[in-house]
Amino acid sequence: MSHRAGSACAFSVQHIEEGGEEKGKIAPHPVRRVHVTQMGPWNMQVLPARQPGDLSKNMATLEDIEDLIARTALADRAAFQELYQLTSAKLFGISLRVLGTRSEAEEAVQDSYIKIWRSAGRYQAGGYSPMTWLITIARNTAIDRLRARRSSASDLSEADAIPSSDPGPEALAIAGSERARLMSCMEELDADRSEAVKGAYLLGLTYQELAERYDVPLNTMRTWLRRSLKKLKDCLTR
Amino acid sequence: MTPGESDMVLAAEYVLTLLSPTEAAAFEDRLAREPSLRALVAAWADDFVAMTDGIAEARVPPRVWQAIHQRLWPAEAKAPAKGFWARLGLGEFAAGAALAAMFAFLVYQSDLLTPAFQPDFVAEIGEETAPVHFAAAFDAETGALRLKREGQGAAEGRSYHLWLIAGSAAPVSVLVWPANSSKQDVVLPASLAAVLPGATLAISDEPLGGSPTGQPTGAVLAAGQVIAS
Repeated sequence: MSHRAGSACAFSVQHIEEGGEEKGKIAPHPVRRVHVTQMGPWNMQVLPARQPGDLSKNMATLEDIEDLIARTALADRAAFQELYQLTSAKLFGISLRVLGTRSEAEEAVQDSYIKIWRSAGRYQAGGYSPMTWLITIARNTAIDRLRARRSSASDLSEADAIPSSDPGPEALAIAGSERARLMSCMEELDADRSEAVKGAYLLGLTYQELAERYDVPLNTMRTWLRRSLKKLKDCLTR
Repeated sequence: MTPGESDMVLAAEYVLTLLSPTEAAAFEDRLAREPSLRALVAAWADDFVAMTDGIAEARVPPRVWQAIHQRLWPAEAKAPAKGFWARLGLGEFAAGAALAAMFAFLVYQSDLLTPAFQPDFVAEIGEETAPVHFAAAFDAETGALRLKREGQGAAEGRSYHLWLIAGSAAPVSVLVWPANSSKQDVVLPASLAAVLPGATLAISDEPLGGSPTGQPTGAVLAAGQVIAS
């Protein structure tokens, strides 16, 4: 069982943004529109009953999210809260998917928003689109927690410790062209290699764990996956 | 692989958190200096994030926001009253003082109430067995609210302060409980009498003479909802 990388990478998103001195040179990322469903009234109960002012009734645009992150960076609590209301259901869904239990996912979401509050000032420099930035923080936070759990559960058999990477039913539904594009490129890879990429992203499997899972030497696994990533990028930029 | 290709793959491994801590740290050093590398990372992050597009949103329990709030602003969260109001789903009460002033009203002593007092609403403020426990009865027609202290009195140098919380509005001061008194009657103005049924009555622990701010500042010792009798 490998214990590597966890905490160092959990803050990867923040670290990326620390080199902000040349941020002006980063090409703007292509805008990918996502639809973020507004949180229901259950949240409004505990939060100050504040209407999300300039947001349209049911949809928030990426520009809205970006604006909220920018205001959060200025320690605007109302903006942070609005950001939470708009995006926490998505981040919670992802944390839940990675971690599998509600209690752990709740803690991961807490940690994620603490990081979002503290690192919002470095968002601009990373060149991420806003939902990618938020989701990457949530994913890294959940993966970090999952890896810590796996390394402390060494008494469990490997089968118990490493959940299946089968895509759930929801993962099979094609939602949006970005997803379709990625998935069609993943399909061009051999099935076990695209599974390995998914296992790394959604389950946080390390090279060591992937090598064990596919029963190949560690270095073979590295070579294998690196080739697959190159092939994937070739397809994505085609 | 060319150097460009190898950076491109390295960026993917970084986003997938496949690098060892040492490799990741070295990569982050380069990221701080190389915008082109940052662009590679951002592009991969955007590509891979598509794997989460199909993951359903899930309702987050309110306690998660409360926990975030408490961790980011612990000094504020320490005021026990705040957690209490949040648990009741009443939100924050920053605007409360102004509202309280707007709702200022007279408190009448018990002997002004007529024997025709016919309560149609009641409230148990605090558990019957708890040390701090009050009973309330309310006559909606006349606006008369009768209060009885059934538990112990306030601590030395402290006062009980009674608050009315209607829906999501800020707590409104009803009265500071006179020391040694076991019974109080008040007549609510029509604006408050109208919202009392279904509202919450709560007792907070305050400095002698009541809250200095017009809003609860101390621990909430007891609370109960006003229900039809």
